[in-house]
Amino acid sequence: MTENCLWRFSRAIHRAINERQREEIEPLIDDDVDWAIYGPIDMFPFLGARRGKEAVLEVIRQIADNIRVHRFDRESIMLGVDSAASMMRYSLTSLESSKPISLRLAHFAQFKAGRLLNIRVLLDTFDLVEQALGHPIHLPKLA
Amino acid sequence: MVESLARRRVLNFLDAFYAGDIAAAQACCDDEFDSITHAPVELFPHLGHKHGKDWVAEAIQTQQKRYSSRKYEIRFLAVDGAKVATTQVVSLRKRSDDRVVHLEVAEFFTLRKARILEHRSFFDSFDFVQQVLGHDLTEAFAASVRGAMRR
Repeated sequence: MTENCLWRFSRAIHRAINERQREEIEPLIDDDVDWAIYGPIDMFPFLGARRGKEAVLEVIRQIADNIRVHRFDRESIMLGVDSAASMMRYSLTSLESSKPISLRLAHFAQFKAGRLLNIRVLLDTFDLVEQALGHPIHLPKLA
Repeated sequence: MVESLARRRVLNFLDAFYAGDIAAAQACCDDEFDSITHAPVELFPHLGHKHGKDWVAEAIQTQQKRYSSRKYEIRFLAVDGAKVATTQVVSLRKRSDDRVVHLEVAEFFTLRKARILEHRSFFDSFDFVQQVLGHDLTEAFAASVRGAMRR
């Protein structure tokens, strides 16, 4: 039975982030990959959109330079032949400040011939900013 | 069979939700409907963790009060048994200034007996707040966030 692409990719990206080992992740990324982690790039430069393998490897390096993953749990997962969607809960630390950050995110990935072709990651970025600041942002009720 | 019913139910729910058809949207949901939209509840009190089908009516009415038009376009849909995941681009026209805000939304649905039991939703909430306010917040917070991440 063939292992779903997601599992290999998941192991490789977490190794790339926590151990800075790029050998496993490199062959799992398509040359024409389309990558987006939606969020404020002025605050977190490793968020945002990237196109192409080199740009994605570079942003993975930036993520590795900024955060460490302590724990992640998949709360829900849906696997297709060449696609995967999951809801995940992460416990992270900012490397420079040692500030702990916990977040939930949704990711949608598509693979081609075992390589990542497209990924979209969405999370409550307002909460992320508040956790990074260490205090709530006070604004009037909007709706 | 289960998957095609689940897919159809979620598509019917989204169509009814954005058409403002409260009865049709609620008819797609289980009586124990449970929803979590991961967003700042201090700013959006109708979001967060909600239980019961009444929330569907509350969410539709709140959006209708604030936006004169609400449209969505599915970008991705996956079905796995009684689970459905979607991403969609949502466009909302604000009544206050007639500007259109756009957001990409990820939603996960779990069905029971062909009705939606669990709903989980994610979007780039910081960007959405900026669009709703009509001004950029990054200037006010970017330096503080970058500084805090370095301390």
